[in-house]
This record gives sequence, C-alpha cells and structure tokens, in this order.
Amino acid sequence: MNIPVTGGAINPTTTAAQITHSGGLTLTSGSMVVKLQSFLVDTTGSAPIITGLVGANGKLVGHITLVDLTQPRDFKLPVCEDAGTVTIPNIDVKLNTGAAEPLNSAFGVSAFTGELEVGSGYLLTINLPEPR
Amino acid sequence: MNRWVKKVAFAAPVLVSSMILASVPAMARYTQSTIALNTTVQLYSTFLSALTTLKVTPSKISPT
Repeated sequence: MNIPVTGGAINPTTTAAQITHSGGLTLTSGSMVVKLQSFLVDTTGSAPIITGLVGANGKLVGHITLVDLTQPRDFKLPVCEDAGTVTIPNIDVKLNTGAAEPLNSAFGVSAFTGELEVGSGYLLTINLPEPR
Repeated sequence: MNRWVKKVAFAAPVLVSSMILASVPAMARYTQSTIALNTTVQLYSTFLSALTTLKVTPSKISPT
C-alpha cells in the first residue's frame, strides 16, 4: 500500500519528522464503512506514530493515533541519503490501543487490539534543495 | 563617554541581529523539507486474514 507524501520535514540526523499524506484506507463490513485518512507520520514525540482522521459511515470519530512504529534493530543514525532520498526500511507497524476501540465499536467485534501487527513499512521522503 | 554609550547602544542590536541571521542557514541545513514520494506499508497476510475472518474488506482511498 503506497501512501503519497504531500509534505513535511525530516531531520536526517535524528529522524525527527512530520510527514503528511493524501489518500487513505477504507474498511468495510456490511453497511459499515470506516475511513482512515489524512495520515501523519510523526516521529517528534516520545515514540514514532502515525495519526489520522477516522470516520464511520460519514461521521467523524476523531483524529487519533492509528499505529505505533518501531524502527528495525539494525537501524543506525544518521539515515542514509542517496541522491536526495531518505529511506528508512523495515519499520514495524502495530495497531495503537487508541485505534482498536473505535474499530471494535464500529464493527461490533473485540478482535482489534493494541500491538496487533499490521505490517511493515518503508518511510521514503525526498528532500528539496538545501535553503541558501 | 555619552558618545560611546550611544555607539554601543546602536551597535548592540545590530550585532545581535547579525548573529541570529547568521545562525539561520546553519539550523536550516538540519531540517529538510520534503516533496512528493511515498510512504509504503506492506500489510501482513496475518492482518489481512484477520480482516477476512471478521468479514472486513480493506480498500485504498485514492489521493484527491
């Protein structure tokens, strides 16, 4: 799943970043449609996360932390820059506890839990030329 | 004496402003703006299987 980057900034020395995205993900079951969108990769806090807007059947649930990100064990700073592109591979993506509750509520289940492994990710950004 | 005080009073803000302006490019080098590319998430098959079990179908929202 490719999520287009629309803007943001990253510090390659510390990987502190806020990166905005367009597009999103829809989860559908019967007549219930949950939309997850306006993803923001945020690594400026105590732990890296992705937040986003959550809506259920057209009603805004809120802007919540969707997943927790964990850097790979062999991750080293500063991140490598190749031709202006920063790549951080093999990021572990797990459902945040705060996102599990609205999903369970929307679908009438209890299967969504914090720490549920969602996938692995690559954070890719491309830099503008340095300011002069 | 008053002349010197006046000169220092004038020069100090100019000097401080110059120092602040000089430090801006050095700070800017460390935070680089981003333009279009992708964040890619490969959803685990176990997660997709769990969604199937719950009869939840995922689909992508196209960028607007």
